[in-house]
Amino acid sequence: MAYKCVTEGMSELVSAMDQLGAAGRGAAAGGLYEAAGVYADAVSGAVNGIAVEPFKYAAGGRKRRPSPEEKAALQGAGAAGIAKFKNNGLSVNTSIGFNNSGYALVDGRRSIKARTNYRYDETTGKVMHASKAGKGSKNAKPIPLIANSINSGTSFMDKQPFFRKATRQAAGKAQSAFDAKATEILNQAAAVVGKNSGRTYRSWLDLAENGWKYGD
Amino acid sequence: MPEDYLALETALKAIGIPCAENGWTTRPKSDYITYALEFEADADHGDNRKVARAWEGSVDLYSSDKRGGGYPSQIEAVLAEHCDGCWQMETCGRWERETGLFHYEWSFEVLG
Repeated sequence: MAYKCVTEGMSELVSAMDQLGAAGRGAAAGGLYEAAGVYADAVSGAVNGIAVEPFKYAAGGRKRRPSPEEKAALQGAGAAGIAKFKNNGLSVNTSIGFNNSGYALVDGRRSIKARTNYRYDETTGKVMHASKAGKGSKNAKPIPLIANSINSGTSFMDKQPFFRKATRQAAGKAQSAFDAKATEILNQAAAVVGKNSGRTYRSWLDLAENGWKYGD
Repeated sequence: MPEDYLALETALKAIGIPCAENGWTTRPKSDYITYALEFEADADHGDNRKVARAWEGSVDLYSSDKRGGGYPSQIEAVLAEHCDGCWQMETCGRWERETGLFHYEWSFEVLG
């Protein structure tokens, strides 16, 4: 479940920051953090809208909806977080999602138990494969698996594309948040080096295209 | 319902693979597809009105064949014809252990 969110104008901004020196290099990361926060908030809100029903085994071609336990796992802390920033010198990248958000404990229902290979072992406090977990361990499901199943659907469960919908519809807000924060940081940096610090985001992009002129 | 979507729906049915319609309660036994129009992806506004609107939807293929039984290429041809470049494959042959089926998923956008 990988979604690509493209923010345009980054290379121009990096070019502008090069001219400002080290003081302006945080603008891309700062703007990106704000934008990623908007996406993460949107996904968290969308999780609350997932329709659920008490668990039933989807046997004989029937279908089911996500159980309340599965929804609660997505609402838990650490879900829909922002990954570490990666800076390769040309761009700053990050991602949001449920990767590495761990496992959710699931009720010991027989139907789930038979289909879950992971157990939470209370003696060691770790999630491990069923063959290695001790007796009396509780069932665990990977949270990314739960999120993917609800978002993309399965042959026995209608899809509820909460992640795709949230990221598509938050794109405009995220872009605005990026523009505002990057402009703020760039203007602060410009003030430090004695340049014009009252620029708009559009003005920064123009500057990146045309270069510094007398009076800037 | 956008006309572009209705045309897409007709073309998908013409492929000849069983379709599980909206609101399905029992899944077909053989390879099958589902499709749905899901939400408004984007819109242009002018004069206090919606000038243009893009809808997003998805097509799902469940197949017992890892390669989708030859249907993925046919579905993509239909999407290319009716959605131009506004579609992408979201899931490529994910295996469902519970049912033994492989899941392909595409999302698309149509104007309406």
